[in-house]
Amino acid sequence: MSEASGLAAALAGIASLKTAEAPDAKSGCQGLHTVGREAIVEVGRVFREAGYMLEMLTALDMRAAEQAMHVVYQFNRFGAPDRHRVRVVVPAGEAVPSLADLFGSANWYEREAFDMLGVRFDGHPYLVRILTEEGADYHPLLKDFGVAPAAAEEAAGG
Amino acid sequence: MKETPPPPANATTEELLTQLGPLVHLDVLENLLNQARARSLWPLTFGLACCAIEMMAAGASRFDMDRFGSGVFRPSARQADVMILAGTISRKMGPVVKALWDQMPSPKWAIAMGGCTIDGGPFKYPGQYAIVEGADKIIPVDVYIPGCPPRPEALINGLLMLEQKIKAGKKFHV
Ligand code: SF4
Repeated sequence: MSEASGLAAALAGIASLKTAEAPDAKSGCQGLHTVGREAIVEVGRVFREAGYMLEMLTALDMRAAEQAMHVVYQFNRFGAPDRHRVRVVVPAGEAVPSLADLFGSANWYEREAFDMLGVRFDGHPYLVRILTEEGADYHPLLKDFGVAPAAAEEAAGG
Repeated sequence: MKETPPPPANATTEELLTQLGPLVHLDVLENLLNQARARSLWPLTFGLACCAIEMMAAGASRFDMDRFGSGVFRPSARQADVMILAGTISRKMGPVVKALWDQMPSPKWAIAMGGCTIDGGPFKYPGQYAIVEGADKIIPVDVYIPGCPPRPEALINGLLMLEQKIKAGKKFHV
């Protein structure tokens, strides 16, 4: 128990972090937080030092409603269920600090979020596309993404 | 039989050969080679998605592709002579598959296994961004095996069809 309260105390020390009162059981999380993007590395370090892993990182296209992208981080650990979801709201077109130095898994997750949704991560060691074809110039999971050009190989006639 | 017109007097050797065909016919030897090729197809060890699981099952003891001489999966493209395209070809993988195909020495054959390699299968829709819509968009395919995934029996049937094709002396891809 002391571990968990240590985490809570460390998180409480981060000024821009807001924690939801009672997380909905359906969310599958024991803690839901939002934080300013300048503090995300600090949040990552707190979780890292408390023995958590970065379980998931993705982004949401909320440009229509809020002119912003949401970057969502999920931290978990082995043992008693204690999953935390941290949300960072980023104005469209701006970058988020990278967690790749703290968590090895962040490297590919951030590349995926960049590839699929065009979110940039400051300080990422190798922010290039990871899933789409070489030379692609689109971000297919954006809400306003229309029709992809034919695959390069097909366009070249094999 | 059709009469071939005599070649022009100033024809080069190369033109003569093209017009008259090879001077020596090795049909008997070719046929013999084809019999051997058909019965020792060496597939390239690689799978692309879920269809590869069925391909592995076809290679394992219950179905045992080795009964037909085609169970010797080669880890190097330079030793393989049949490419079993088992799975979804993502756009990123497309150039890699093409490079592997180019590395295989002739004579070589390709089997498109499953809906994905036939035309994109379940992932095909107008304007999709993820896949190559069919293996034949990038390499020449000899046998198509429908299914999602095809059962091992279907793959074995495909291999037998390929054997027939080879024994019949169909042209090689170069
Ligand atoms: S055809 Fe079906 S089983 Fe085969 S790779 Fe495609 S989705 Fe998977």
